[in-house]
Amino acid sequence: MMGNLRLPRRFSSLIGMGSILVLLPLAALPAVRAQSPEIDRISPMAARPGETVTVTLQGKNLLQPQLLWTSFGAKTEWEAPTPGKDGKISKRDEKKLVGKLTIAGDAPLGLGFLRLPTATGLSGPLFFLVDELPVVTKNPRNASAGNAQAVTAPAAVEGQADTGRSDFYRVEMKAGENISVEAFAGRIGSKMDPVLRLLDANGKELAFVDDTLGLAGDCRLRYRAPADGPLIIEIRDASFTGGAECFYHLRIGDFPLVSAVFPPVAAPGGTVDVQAVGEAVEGVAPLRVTARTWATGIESTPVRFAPGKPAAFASVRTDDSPLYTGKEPNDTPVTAPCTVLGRIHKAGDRNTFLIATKKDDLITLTPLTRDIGSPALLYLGVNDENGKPIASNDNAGNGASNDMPLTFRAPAGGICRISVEDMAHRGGDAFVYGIHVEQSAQGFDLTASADRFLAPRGGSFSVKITAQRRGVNGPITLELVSEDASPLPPGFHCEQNIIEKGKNETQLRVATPADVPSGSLYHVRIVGLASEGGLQFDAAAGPPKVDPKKKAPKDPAMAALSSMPQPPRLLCETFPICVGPDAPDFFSIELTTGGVDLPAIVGKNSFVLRQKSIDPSYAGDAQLKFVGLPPGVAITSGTGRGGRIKGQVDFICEVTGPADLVPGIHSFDIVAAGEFKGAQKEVRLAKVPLRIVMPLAIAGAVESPIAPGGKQTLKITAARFDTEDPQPIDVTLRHFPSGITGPEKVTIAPGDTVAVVELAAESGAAEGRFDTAVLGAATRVKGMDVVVESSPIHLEVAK
Amino acid sequence: MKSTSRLLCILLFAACATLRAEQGETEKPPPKLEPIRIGAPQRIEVSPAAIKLETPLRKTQVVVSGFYADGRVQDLTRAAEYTLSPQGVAKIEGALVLPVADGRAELTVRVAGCEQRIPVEVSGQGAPEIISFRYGTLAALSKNGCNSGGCHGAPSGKGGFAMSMIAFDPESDKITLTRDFLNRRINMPDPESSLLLRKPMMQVAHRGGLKLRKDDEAYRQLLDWIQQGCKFDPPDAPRLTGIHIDPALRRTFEWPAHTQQLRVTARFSDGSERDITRLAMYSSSEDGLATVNGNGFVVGTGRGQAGISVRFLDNVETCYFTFVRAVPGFAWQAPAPANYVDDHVFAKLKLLQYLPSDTCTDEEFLRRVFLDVTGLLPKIDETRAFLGDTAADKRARLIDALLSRPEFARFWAFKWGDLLRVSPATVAEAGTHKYNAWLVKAWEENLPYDRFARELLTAQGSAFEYPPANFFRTTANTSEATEMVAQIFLGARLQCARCHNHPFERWTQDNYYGLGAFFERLQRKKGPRPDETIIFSARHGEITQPRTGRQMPPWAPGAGELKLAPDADRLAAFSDWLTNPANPYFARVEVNRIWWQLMGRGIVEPIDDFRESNPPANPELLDALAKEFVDSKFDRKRILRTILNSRTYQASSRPNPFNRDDEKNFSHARQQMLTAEQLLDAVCQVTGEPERYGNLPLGTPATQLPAPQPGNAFLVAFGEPTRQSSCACERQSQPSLAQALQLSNSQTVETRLRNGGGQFIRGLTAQKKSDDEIIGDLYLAALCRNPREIELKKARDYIAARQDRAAALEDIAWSVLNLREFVFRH
Repeated sequence: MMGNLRLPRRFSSLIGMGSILVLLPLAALPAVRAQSPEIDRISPMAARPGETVTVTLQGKNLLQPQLLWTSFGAKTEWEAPTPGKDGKISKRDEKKLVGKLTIAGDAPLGLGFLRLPTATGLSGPLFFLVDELPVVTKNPRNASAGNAQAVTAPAAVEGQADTGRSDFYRVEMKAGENISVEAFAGRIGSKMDPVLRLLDANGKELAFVDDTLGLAGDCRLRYRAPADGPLIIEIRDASFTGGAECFYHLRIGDFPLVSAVFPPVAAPGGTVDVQAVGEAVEGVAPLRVTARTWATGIESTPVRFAPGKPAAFASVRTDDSPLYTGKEPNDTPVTAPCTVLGRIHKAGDRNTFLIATKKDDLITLTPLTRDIGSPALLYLGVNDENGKPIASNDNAGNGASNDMPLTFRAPAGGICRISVEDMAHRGGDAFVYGIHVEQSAQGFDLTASADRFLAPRGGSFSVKITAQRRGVNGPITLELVSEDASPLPPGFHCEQNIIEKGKNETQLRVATPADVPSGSLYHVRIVGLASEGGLQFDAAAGPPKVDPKKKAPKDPAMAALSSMPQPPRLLCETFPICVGPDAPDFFSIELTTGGVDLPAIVGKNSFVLRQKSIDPSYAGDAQLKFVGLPPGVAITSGTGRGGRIKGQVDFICEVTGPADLVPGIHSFDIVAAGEFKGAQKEVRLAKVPLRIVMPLAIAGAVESPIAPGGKQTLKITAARFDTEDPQPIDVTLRHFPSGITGPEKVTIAPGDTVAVVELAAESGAAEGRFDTAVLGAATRVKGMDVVVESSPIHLEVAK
Repeated sequence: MKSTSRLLCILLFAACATLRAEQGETEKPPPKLEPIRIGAPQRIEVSPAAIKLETPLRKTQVVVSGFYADGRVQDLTRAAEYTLSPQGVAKIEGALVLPVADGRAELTVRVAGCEQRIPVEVSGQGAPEIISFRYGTLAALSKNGCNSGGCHGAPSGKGGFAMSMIAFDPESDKITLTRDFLNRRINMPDPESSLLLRKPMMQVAHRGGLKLRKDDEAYRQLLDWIQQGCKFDPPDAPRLTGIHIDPALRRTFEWPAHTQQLRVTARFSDGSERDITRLAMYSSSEDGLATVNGNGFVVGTGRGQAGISVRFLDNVETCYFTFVRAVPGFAWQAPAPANYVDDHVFAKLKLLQYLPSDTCTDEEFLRRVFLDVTGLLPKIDETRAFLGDTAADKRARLIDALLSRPEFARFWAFKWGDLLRVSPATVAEAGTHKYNAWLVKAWEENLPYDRFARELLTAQGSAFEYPPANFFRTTANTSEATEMVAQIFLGARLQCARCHNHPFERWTQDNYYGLGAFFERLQRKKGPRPDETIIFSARHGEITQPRTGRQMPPWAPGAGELKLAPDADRLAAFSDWLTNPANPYFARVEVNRIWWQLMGRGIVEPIDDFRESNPPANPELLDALAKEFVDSKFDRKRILRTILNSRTYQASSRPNPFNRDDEKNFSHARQQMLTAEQLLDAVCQVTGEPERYGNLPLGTPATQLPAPQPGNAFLVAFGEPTRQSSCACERQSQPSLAQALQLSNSQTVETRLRNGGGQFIRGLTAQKKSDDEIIGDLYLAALCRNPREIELKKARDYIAARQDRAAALEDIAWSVLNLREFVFRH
């Protein structure tokens, strides 16, 4: 989770597995949201492992869909939209997408999510349940007990609450049969606050439940039928609110009502026997679960009363810090860092554990409850060895939400006694908890300005990363780490990845590889590393914080995250990067000259780069980058010259280099990055010649053939690169053909660049074409003698 | 909440001013006194049994009571003869004994042949009495109203002179009186020139008027205190432990006996006593029934019971007097009592010579009990069934049936919603539904009231997951929590005591913060869901009395300061105390509230103002109801059933000549306008056109709403409260022009009646019912009775004259909805 102090070693191993941090200059583009697909709803929103269902996605910008990405493994096959008579796709089809979704046979039961990449973006997440119960769709006429919709258990009903009414379902029961009814709403991103009532055939209320503990407003109940006959299940929103955002998934069957498992956390790759906890778990045998191998993994496990019975789901988290399971009396001290696991078995219980400290140690205790499905709200009290209170977190009071971390300084070396209670004096087997024990209150939190990124293949995106520092003032280096610690494909590059000392933000730029399939999706962590006072700190960036005063996030799933029990870690702690297709060309660039000259000694020159709009409505200025320049050479681009004319704009570029450049020819790439209608495009001019030239050039030209015995003018043109302090240029004429004469030497004045001399041909001069004559030129540039020679001058002697 | 507290404080200050004015003793002419018919008492009692006058300023009031063979008692103080022997030791002025010189004497009291001798011992006359700052100076200032809320005891004082209200803060008064040089009030070299004396004597302009005369005891106290150098009481000075009133705390007088002299004694920690009759302050709970002057002389002027409160600094005691007059032509007759309710009510009525009204008709009962129990009118078939039932126990059976209905639980949950301030503003939109659902459940399951209270007081966690935790969610801080708990469960308005000792009651500022200590650790924090709040009790946190700076331990009335473990759950401890069957407040407050809901007036009225100075109209009835409540393990339905089955509840609302002026003794039923929600439901029911409230299912009655409906002009006009305070007074029942307009010409009524009188009448028309049948059904639906022949004839004539039958029926329905009989519960 964002904002928590992380153990430095946690990521060091990952970096060792394959660093993906490469500092190369890249054109950076902002994270793209405009034109991104938005999916508001999928129907059905649940399916069984191995099942193929026809799914309908509703939302916006759903054209050019690629394959759905799912967290649980699935294949997609979209139906092509039907073009109209005019051959165009109607607007309506942009809002709906139909296809077949085949769930992987080994898909883990429980809450997953999916995303839709399209040619123009990546959708937000949408929750999807992998559930082994067959899905039944609500009949909208079930608004009264008399019209209750018949359902054969086990089943899951998918429905939507309607304003001002309830939905009724009828289940036939045999005497002595048990039934569990569980409403999923808030836990799958719905705005519905469900209420369940169980009625007998006469409408008499048998059970009522609202807001089951720790289920984010969802509720569930279990009932044993005293006699044969129907039971009526009523479900509605607590406030009678309805609408498309108030959907529900109502599970009906004989399954345990599980909240969590204990222990809820295991070491990476470790196998643990866990016990399901919740409201109806009696008779559920301990489950053996093998945790994921990476530090932040999560393993889902089905929980059922007996083989063949319908399952509920629970999960085990992976945590790579040492784990201690509390057992009273806890008389063996733990040392930071570690995670202490425990349960508040009954109301009013107070657990204790000991921490070994040194004098002035700063210790932070971070409760872990809701994230593991526990309804507990932890009160933490710290006493010294003599029972003297040191600190507690019960004065958090107004404003703070959820569990409050507690940081305290050990006043003296020795043992500190930590007491753990439920803040509201509650308890029960479901009140499981973990407490991260870490040393130092220092650290930092990172927040990203976007929750997902799309970059064209071979393109890039940028994202602002903001740091909230807590006593760590040094530079923070940002890295990308794949969510399961596997190496990312080569080609992911970062730059501007350092939040400078004392600063709080940077615009991180990330390039995506060009050789991965379009639509590839990677979940990465953006991890910051820093050190202070010999200690190392790290933290993973979280998504943008939701400002309660502002509009809720557009994506219902992201909006629901903050209140969900056991929110998917992949959503909370990682960012998806979708490699999109190549962006369409909407502009081009060209050099107005064949290459770029950089004069030695003078060390600077300028040239013009012209941007042309291919799409006439593109009116942006591309961001220019010059890649592969020789050491010491740099190019800066200025603003457009002369404004935009017919979609064309000229950038004045200035090339500079050191005085001692050795003349020669190099090449470099010009990369121009533009953004248009939400798409990004990079245009590259590859292998642009860069000529290191002398700061003086001389050339001569004879206007027309010279007749034997006749005369002709030779125009000498000098090109100076030192315009600040021009010096006279001494020009000498050399290697003229026999019989052709002219002045031996000509001086071009400092303020001039041209000289005209007269050539004379003897009458006996041989006729023909000659390319032997050259001009030598000598001058001084910045105090240095510069001598150059012209290219051969073409001379023709003819009558 | 805050503004309500302020309003209450202002009202009480104003009341203080009234109290002061009454004690000003000059404006009102004294009531006419009837000559005492001494008759032949069997014996007399004289109080005190012995008189000790130990300083020159001590005086002793003598009170003489006569006891008669028929059980009557009357005050003979002003009829008795007093002689002192030997003379020169003391003297007597009226019934007041004053010292003259050291020595012993005997006071002989004679009346109607009875005689009693009282020893008198006078001492300490050779030296001046050292005036106690607290019990002399401040008592004198209090007696004269100088430090009352309307004068210098107001928060900002008056004319630049501010004292603590009724001397609740003697330390600050010390400074004000003696150290405030800028406004020097004491003139040591010339005490009689002190402004402290000259102003109230109007020798210098005083906006408060004449308050002090030279022959007042207060003048002597103040002058002596200044002359003695304005000394303060030494730290080990005896402390006042209480005051005592003679005669007994309850007494009944039969006209022409109608007066009673009081004698008030202060008791101190060293065992000493002092007569403070002339220094104490007096007030009557029923000014129209009894008055009391500054000397403690009570005069009854009417029939009924009055409480006379006596205050000396922060000590308050109350005695109760019932005045009975024979009414010409009165002959007791009453329906057979149905239960103990009637016994107690009838006993009081008989005593006061009020004749109870006849039992109401079945039609009246049906409409009344439906409205009171379910908030709704009966349906036509229910009315017909009940009226056609000839069984003797049909009323009792109907009561049982109604108490089992879901509408009953929803309606009474709605009533509690007012009290608990259930609204989106206080508990968020989702919270209103959850909290209301919990209340409905509590009533459906008849959750015992002690458990009900305990759940509200101890619920912790998410207020969405534990709806009773919304109880404290509606409060923002300790003060609000303390005041709300006191108002709801103790029937006490504590707002005044936040800043100073309560002016009318025993509640001190220390008590306020001591009670607040139970709630100081309450914490409120945001939950993970939008608008979710988590309520919990912190393990630490103490409350400090702002005036004294003392960290206050938890304190409860009657129990004093509780010794609790440092990390004890104080909310649980408070609940234990509150719901203890021996708690004198808990059961009484709730049965009184239930009584008020059914009878329209509390036995204690207002229902959230239980205090000694506001006695119950029928203490025996209140005690009996409370006893049944406790004995039944706080079964609210049982109390409801008891009251509903009583003849008192089933009395007609038509008064008879012998109870026409009775408003307090429940001799007849009260006619009350339906509440806003009841009336709108009734309109909807009679027209067959339901109202839509937000997202709630169409047809949800207004009397079952989880929260007030913003923007419903009809409900607002008829006084729907916004639930901003826990005071029942927030619901307005005063008639207004807006109400008349709403009924006669509003969209709410008019649109429902359009097209032939609404769905209800259209349905009857469609069934081809005759005019008489339709009119009959209309009357049954709206008034629970058949139309009288004259009403039927008028309706027939109107329909015939109008020709357009649908329009005529619409008009008739409109006229029925505008009948007083429809708008009122009677």
